[in-house]
Amino acid sequence: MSTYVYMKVLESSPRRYDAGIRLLSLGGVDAMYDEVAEAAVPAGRDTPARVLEIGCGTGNLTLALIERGAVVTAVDQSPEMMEVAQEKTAEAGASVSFREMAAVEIGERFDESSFDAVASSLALSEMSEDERRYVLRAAHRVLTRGGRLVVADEVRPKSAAARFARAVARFPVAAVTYLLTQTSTSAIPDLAGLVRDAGFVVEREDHVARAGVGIVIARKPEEGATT
Amino acid sequence: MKLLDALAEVLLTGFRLVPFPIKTGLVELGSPDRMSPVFVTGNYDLTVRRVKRALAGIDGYLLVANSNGVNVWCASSGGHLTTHQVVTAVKLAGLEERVTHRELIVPQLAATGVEGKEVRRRTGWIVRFGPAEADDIPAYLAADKDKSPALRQVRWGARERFEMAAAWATPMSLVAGLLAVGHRLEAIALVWALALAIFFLFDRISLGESARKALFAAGGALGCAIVLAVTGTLGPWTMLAWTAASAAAVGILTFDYAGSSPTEAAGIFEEKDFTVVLDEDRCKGAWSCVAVCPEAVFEKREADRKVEITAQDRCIRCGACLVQCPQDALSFASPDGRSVGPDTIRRFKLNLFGKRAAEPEAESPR
Repeated sequence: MSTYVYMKVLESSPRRYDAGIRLLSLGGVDAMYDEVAEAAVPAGRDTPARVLEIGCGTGNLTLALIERGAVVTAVDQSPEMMEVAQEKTAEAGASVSFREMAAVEIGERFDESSFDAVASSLALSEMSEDERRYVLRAAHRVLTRGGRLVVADEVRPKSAAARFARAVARFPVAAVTYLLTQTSTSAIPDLAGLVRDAGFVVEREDHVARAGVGIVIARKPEEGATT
Repeated sequence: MKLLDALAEVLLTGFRLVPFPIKTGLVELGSPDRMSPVFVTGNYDLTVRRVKRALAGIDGYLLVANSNGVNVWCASSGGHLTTHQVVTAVKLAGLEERVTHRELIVPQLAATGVEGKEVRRRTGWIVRFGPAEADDIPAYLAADKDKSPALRQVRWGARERFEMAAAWATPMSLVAGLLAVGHRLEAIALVWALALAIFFLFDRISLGESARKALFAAGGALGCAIVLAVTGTLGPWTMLAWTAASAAAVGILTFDYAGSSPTEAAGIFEEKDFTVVLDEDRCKGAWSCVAVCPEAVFEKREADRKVEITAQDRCIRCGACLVQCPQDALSFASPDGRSVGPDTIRRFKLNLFGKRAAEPEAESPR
């Protein structure tokens, strides 16, 4: 169900993003936010986890992270989307540090090893291939050793048949979206491979089938040389 | 290859309302050296083709930033080509290893989205806004990057008008060709005639509600009168057809062309009666407004090194001047005293209908 081409329609009107994306993912997107937050902030920590969220958008994952007691720093390049996120988290009574910047900037805006986890949902698919690699390396830099990286995004099915079925199902949706919003997203061929290339150890891969989303849970190695 | 390129360009021009994204990143032009200029553009196929053609014979680098496959002006006004996309392109390109200078020549029409001083703060690169039209880049370089008014003003001549007419008529022709069974050619000819008429004759018409009604009634009545005079009879179906035709014509003539014509002003929120105002005390004569205004609304006042708004009537409220002013000396004001400042214009971008989504009360007057 590659409904994420709609993301851009929704993004052009931030106030309608949440209702739209929930409907289009048949509710699957909420399960995704919960799973990402759960993996990024394991229960039973003594101190609150410091989490960096890349591409917070309207703040749905941000909320899920706060609910689990994390101290969140959220970056996004759309001030309009972040405005919605800010209202939402303020309503929840949490204080989140929202920072407007391009994802490629995180490596220099934040200190090395300054976060216990880095989380991101539906942001990498909007980037070019070299941008994804750059951002994941930067995420590696700002994470503490042993820290978790959790990324969820639209993934490209592995089998050719599934890819074909997806392309056929996607075409009318993509065409309409193109006309309406002048944009599209590109599904990521090998999300786990990208994460590995940036120096992480992949612990688990998961799928939210309903939403066509893959989740990769990885760790920055404790000791020894990485990239 | 030449023929294929020409064909691609015709198709891309006809379907220019649809984005055609191409690969982002650094492109070498000719044989650049360490002092060669670096030009920035968006990743819209047609744009990159035209920029490359305009730069033929110039040695340099073309940095293609991600504008979601949308042309530079629309993308920067709509939030697709902003400071962050330029910062991202610069970081990924590794330009520092290729050139010794730190200057980016950014399209002037990107000034509504790409904030020069923010790019500098985040990357160390200086943004210099080039000419409004890519075709003028050689002239701009020949003039030592000094922009005469002709290089700053967006062009709206026969060629540009024809291209916009084609951009509307091509997809509409497909629709008309599908729907008008039995009269396909006539329908397509009508679509093109209307589109050409609109962009060559009527794009400056902005009618009020009462003028619209009068035009509608006059069109219908005139049509009926002509039929009556020529044929001597007037049936109910003929009258209905002329009424419908008149309604359609009025709809087309009074359509809001913001976004399709550089002379139609954008709305601030839902309103169009905002004007640009200058706080003279804040103005320090940086003249960035002069450099980025696509309609030459401002003029330098050398005597006290301030700027003067000399052509308010040409202002299309694109907001480029507010975004770039280093002193935040410019803002938009409504007749009833509300004010919209640079921060709102920097944050809230235009939608496809040339409106900003922000609420007017989001910002208190300075």
